[in-house]
Amino acid sequence: MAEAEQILEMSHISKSFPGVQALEDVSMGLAAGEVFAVVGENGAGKSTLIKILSGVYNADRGEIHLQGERVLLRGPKDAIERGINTIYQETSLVQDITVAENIFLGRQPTAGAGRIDWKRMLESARGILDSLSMHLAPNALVSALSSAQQQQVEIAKAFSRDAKIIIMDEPTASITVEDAENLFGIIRKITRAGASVIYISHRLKEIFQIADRVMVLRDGKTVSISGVKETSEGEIVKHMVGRDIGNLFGDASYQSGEKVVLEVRDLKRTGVYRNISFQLHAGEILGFSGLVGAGRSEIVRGIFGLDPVDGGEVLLGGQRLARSSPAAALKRGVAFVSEDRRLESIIHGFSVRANITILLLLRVLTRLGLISARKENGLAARYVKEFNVKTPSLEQLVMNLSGGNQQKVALAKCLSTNPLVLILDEPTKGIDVGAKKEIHTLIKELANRGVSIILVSSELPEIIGMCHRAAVIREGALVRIFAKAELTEENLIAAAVGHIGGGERHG
Amino acid sequence: MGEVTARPSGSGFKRVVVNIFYEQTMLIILILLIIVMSIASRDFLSFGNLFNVMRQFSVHGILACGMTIVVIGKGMDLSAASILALCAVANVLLQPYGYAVSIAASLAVGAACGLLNGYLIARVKANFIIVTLGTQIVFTGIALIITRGLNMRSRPEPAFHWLGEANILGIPVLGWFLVLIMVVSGILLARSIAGRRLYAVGLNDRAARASGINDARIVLMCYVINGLICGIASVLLTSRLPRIRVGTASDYLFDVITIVVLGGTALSGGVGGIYRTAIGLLIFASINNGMALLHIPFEYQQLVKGIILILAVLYDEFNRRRRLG
Repeated sequence: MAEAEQILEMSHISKSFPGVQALEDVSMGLAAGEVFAVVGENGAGKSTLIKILSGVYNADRGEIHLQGERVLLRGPKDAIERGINTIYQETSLVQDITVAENIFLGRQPTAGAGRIDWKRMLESARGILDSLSMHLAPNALVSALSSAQQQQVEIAKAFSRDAKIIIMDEPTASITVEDAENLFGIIRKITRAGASVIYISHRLKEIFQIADRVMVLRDGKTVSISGVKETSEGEIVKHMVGRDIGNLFGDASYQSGEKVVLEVRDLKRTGVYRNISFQLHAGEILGFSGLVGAGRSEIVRGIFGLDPVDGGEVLLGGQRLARSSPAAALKRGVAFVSEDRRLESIIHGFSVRANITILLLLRVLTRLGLISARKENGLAARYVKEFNVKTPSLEQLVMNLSGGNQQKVALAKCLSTNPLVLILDEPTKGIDVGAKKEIHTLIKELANRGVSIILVSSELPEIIGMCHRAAVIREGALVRIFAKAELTEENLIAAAVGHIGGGERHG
Repeated sequence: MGEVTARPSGSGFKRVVVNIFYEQTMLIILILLIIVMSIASRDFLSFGNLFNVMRQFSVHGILACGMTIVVIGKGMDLSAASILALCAVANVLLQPYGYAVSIAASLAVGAACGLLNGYLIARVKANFIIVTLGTQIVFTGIALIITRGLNMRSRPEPAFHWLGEANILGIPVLGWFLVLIMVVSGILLARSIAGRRLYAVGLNDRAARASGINDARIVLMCYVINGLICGIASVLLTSRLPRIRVGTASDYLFDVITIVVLGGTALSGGVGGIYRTAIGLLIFASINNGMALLHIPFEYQQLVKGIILILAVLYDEFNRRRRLG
């Protein structure tokens, strides 16, 4: 790459939002035909960098040079016209029209009088798809394609517009391993044709597979830029979190034979799940594993009373939970952190303070029964410190925090009630390595203190590393509960897809 | 106070100034308005005029408190003025049985109307615009049937008339009532547990439910409280005006919505409060009173009022986008 032409130069870019310095003095260059990876924890500034380069935001300071010429990007359209194309995680394709129409959207070849020249358009699309080895029919409807295929269409669209730079934001987040291999093949074709790729990802293995150089961002600053051949995964992780994170999971100290805290008997929701029975012991971490859509989340939501149930019962300390509602469950010591952070586990438009104290308001009242600002602030400040929430102030709106810090606020809120049972639905989804580690440590500590935990997770290493036992759910039925010794990826996958059935029902 | 707004905490003098400007836009407009009006008309800042304004707009302000609560809960009560009319009719009708009875009846009718709205919206989950549009017609219809479409004569005895006309410590009794209702509803919103829960429901009802908040009950209570406040307002209205026409009362709806939106309580729910509504009320009252003092013809006044509401909605939309960043 050393001799290649420098196509992009970003120098001393800074950008701040109210209360947050999103980027500070970040500089980077990009050579023609290069794959440049950008990594960092959530909130490190990756998205801001992309948005500045794709014209969505204006930088507060700093310059962007394209092929040696200083440019001011006046918006996403301007960026595209200058050859900078961005492929976001969410598709921007029009679903109800064909692949070819999407590729040529807004610049369809015409055959006089404004009629679209379909023949020519389909042929050109076919040519572009073939040149990138994409096996897609130009006349297929986009809505009928898989997400990996839609991604390919987006790349073809960018490529056909003579993109000089293609930015890919977490392109492998929602596609399979085989599709990812395909994608890498396509990226190699693009770069061989002279275009450059800026590749954002959480997955370090991919970066070593596909990128030429990698930049690590932390807290809006560049920590390092290195050729992938001169660095290692361990070093990158160290740069990302600013410290060695050591072993990802600690040891489980739980001994079986503790008393039963929660018992679920024959819980059922018609058409969703049935015959769900299990026991949860004091200090136990029970995993809920299985394929997405198998009914794991629905079951725990039913236990907490967020979704209706059609039969069965939930017993806490041997006593039946009379009414199925979150209020009733909270009163009996059950807390729940939803998978959907934005819509359920926190109130986005509330401050950090108001989110943390929402379940504690009875404890911060004055003698007149009104909320005492002093008591409330004191309590909120304590939890912010205890849970290491990174926020400029208690009054910061939670929506302005990074995903990991939002999750810490959600956990702080739930744990403020000292629950006996904590239900966590995908608690580390979309969270960076550092915050993930903190959350794992926290879960272990809670279990050691005697809190019983149900951990729903799609990540097998998380289930295996964290849980004392794990239940596998398949198509709405509890297939089997595996003991610690049986917790292997092979067993969990086999049970999830139906190679293992029956077996032990109760632990 | 417990009001929940974006309060960016960055440094820099410029940012502080910009923030004050955004947060207090309406306060600045109010101050400018008062300066302009007092230059344009020498009567504007006279005590006589101010008390007049207070008497004239107290009922607006009281109704706006109820509407603020409903709007924070992500709703709107288009039937508020009709509840006011129906309560006023009940009051006048039952005055022969004593004021205790007639006042109690007004409050009860108001609460019952609010309960009907709240039940349909919170429990049946019907759309609040359609529900209150429907009940608006129903309540007005009942009031018209009772009065046979005629004016109702309220013959307030001195004791009752006192509410509408007398002063305490030099300030109209109506003004005292306005301040009382504002303080109580302001504290309720900013400092009570129910108030905090209302903001949570207004911002995100699903997350509120997951936090153990009974969102349906909170929404139901909003409409009941609003109905009750309409009942209180009707008592004050009948004490001031000797003659009640159902149509007159209905005019309040437009004004009250303008006041609330003008203040900056968000139509998208969960943001706002009584302080803002108080500023909205002062702006609205200043403009109306100013136009009257300057003898601007009625048709033009209507035009100006309509434009103000539209500007207020644009302001609301601008604020919403700013909050989302």
